[in-house]
Amino acid sequence: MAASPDTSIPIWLPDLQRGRRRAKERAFEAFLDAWHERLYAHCRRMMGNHEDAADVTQETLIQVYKSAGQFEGRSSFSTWVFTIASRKSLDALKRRKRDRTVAFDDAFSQAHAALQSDALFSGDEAELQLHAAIAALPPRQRQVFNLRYFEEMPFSQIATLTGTSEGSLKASYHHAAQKIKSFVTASLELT
Amino acid sequence: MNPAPFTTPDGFFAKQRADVLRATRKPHWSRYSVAAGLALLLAGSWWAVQGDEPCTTYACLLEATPLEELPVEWAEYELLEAGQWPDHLMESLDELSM
Repeated sequence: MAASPDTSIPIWLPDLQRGRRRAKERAFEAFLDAWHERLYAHCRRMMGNHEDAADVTQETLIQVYKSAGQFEGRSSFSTWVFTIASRKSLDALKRRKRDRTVAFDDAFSQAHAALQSDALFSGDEAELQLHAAIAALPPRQRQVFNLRYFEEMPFSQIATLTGTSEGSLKASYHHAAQKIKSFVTASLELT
Repeated sequence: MNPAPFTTPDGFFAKQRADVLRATRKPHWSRYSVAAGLALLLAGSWWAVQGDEPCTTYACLLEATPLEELPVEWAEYELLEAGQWPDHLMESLDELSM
């Protein structure tokens, strides 16, 4: 699992927000050092393939640069960054027609086949089952599951990020986890 | 468990980083371009204004100058030279000159 989200204010953040050109560019490079791969991983789990994840990651990084001055510190910086990444991912998923399948089983089969033929997927069979099941979740449920399970984000932060109550988030996460668990268990028993 | 069982094409992060840095640095140049364009426009306007022929007649000056700023002495001189200043207005012209 990933490390707990960093709730402190990064040392380069003031320069990223209000620095002169050179200072802002240096701060942005420091931001990229800390966040680039982490954001890509989040986007990859949300989008399910490298090409879409690369596009969403790039949009997110540029948005962070443009909007850094608007970060007011009402949430942690990591929550703010994940908010941007999640919104970009959800927007991209909305545009992507193939995510409009309704049945979880069908979505799982499609995601499983796609991951199996994905040369850039390096997981074992259990990981393949897990990621296929995650990819089969409805986008918003997938977002909550990824942030909680992989990023270990507290429900309070996810609630800030998604603008929903902690209660409904916990229910959504529990529902998603149960669905994934039962599906992965059943699939692994079959193999 | 490995949190990200994914790989990326060779050099992906370095290439994307370069693309992102290029994209974020571009707006600065755009801003400079807009500023340079505005400066050129202002300079052009100034040049156009400055490029007008200076007035050499009272009629031109009357056209170009607010009434209260008209140089009365000049008008007096020009009109008297041309013999166009009516006698009955001489008195009021003297008052204005004082």
